[in-house]
Amino acid sequence: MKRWNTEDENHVLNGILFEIYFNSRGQFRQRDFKCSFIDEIFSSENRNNFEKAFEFITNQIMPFDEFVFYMPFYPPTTLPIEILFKEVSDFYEDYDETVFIIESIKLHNVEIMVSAGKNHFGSVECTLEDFVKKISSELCIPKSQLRLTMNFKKTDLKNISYPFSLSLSKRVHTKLGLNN
Amino acid sequence: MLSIINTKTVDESTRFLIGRNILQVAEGGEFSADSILRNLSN
Repeated sequence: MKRWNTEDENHVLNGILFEIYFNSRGQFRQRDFKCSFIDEIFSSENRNNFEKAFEFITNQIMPFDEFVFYMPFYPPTTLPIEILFKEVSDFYEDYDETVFIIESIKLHNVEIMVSAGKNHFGSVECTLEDFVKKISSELCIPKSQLRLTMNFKKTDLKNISYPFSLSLSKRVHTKLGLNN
Repeated sequence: MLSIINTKTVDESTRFLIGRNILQVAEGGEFSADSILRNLSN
């Protein structure tokens, strides 16, 4: 990639970063960012080598900061996320299983989980590792920059359940009409 | 594939579009684009 540098600019990487956040018409996506390779693209090595490209994309997405949880500044910052689980037992015939249901996801002490996890219908069960991937994707942040706080030990969280329609938003209170 | 392009003949706008296309096809599962994204610092 370095051979595509022109002085300190790399327009190929600028294009890659732009594609994450903007659609084919150049409009900001608002959600469903293209995050599949966020760990690789936002690596600290890339940020050190291509500082200008990260400055470019930060400037592009800054006007949309109400939709963006994580700004790819240089140097990288972390995002403190607090997750509250509720432990429940599921019984299937003679099989007893403990499931940890997501009750709340907060950023800086503010709720960001749109769909309440109280209704067990239409839920997804996964491991903690897969759930962290899901959070990383929803927030469009590399996993290394997530600072998770949870009310159970990581080793306990073997079976996590979250609503199928789980989405995260900075405007949860507005959506639920709590500001009125 | 990217390595066969002569960088001196490609202007800034085209470079930008190449970048966009790399992520598009990588998200679609194209292995060679996937490889580029995993080795950006090379």
